Amino acid sequence: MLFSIHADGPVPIYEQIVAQVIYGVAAGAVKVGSFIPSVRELAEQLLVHPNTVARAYQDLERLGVVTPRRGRGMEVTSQAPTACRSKRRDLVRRRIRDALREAAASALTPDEIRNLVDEELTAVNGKRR
Amino acid sequence: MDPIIETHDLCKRFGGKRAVDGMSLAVPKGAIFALLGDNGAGKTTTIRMLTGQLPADRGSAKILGQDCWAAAEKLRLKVGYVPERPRYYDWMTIAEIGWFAAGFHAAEFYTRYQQWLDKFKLDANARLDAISKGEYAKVGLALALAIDPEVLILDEPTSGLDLLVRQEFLGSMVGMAAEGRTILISSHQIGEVERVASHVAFIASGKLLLTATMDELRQRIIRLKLRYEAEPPDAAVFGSVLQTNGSGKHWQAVLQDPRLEALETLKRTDGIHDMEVSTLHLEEIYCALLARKV
Repeated sequence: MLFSIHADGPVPIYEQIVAQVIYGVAAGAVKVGSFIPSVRELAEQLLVHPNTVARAYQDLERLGVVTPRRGRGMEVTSQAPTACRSKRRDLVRRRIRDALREAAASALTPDEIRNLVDEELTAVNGKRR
Repeated sequence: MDPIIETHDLCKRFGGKRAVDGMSLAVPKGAIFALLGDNGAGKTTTIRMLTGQLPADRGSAKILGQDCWAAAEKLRLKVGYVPERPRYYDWMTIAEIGWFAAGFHAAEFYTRYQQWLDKFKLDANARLDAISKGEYAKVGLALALAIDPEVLILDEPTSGLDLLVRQEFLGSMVGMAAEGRTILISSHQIGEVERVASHVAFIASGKLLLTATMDELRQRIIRLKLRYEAEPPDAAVFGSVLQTNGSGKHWQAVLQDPRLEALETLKRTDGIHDMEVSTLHLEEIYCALLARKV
């Protein structure tokens, strides 16, 4: 799993770690039953204090994304994909809502907005193929 | 849990100059505690008192519950220390300086020293006068680590090192904290320790300006930005003011310990627009703290 952490951003480092694990699981890059790096490994890789990583892992455990396995580390749970996809869906929904508000504020009609969304969706799916 | 390193009202004067003036610090176990300040702020003097090289004029300095001056010899076996510019016998090889230092320590010293040399990829047969600055710094760290210290005190450990070596250095520091060792590191390169530190203390002219955990710091120092129609607000209502400035109808302030209710009220005030509260970089916080002091 590749992490990209910005120490100088507005989002605390532990939240960035949580968000990126969730994204990884939701996107299928991190599989059920696999282990995420140990606190020490990830801390050394990202050059952040181990407590920061430990705090992120506590959050992930509380969200049911990972569970500790004695002597082996943190395992991605079977319900993780569902939980992470739903978290991601909430996030995307919020962004779409913001965009729609902006569209409404710009006096676009519902039909115009729907056309825009369809066009963009086609463009994105086209790129994927 | 008791702090591993603790100073209380620590003072040191040189002639008429107060090099350290009422410094009270508490460093918990497993912390990477960054002592930040410009040259001459009192970092090295503080460290010299912590390492038993200098008695305090007033106040106390304790490590692992023992007085840094009275119990200096005992503490030397538990506290690893790398000075800012370590100098060893340069005609010795890396192996020889370890063997020499081993004479003052327990039997396992040399074995551990060799393990750290391997880890740092140092050539034991290289002469100290023929290695790079970065390698020299690593020899210092290997010597400090060979006593298997509970506490590590590093005075400007990365100054003068190349970027890659600095990153490796910070990486090994993270590893040591993960092992439960407590690390105090002084630096004037503030951005660099921003990621790895768990705690910071800002000092200037021998005085402590602010100490906090990194998480607390985000909440304790904030920037408030807004646009006003008639009059700019009175910053003092919202917390302790470190800086204010503005141009036209735009206004901003850096606040310490902001009053959240007052900010909520401000948000709903007529004639105040685009209000934004944001966090600051470590460097900006340092500058703001200094600006208030002057």
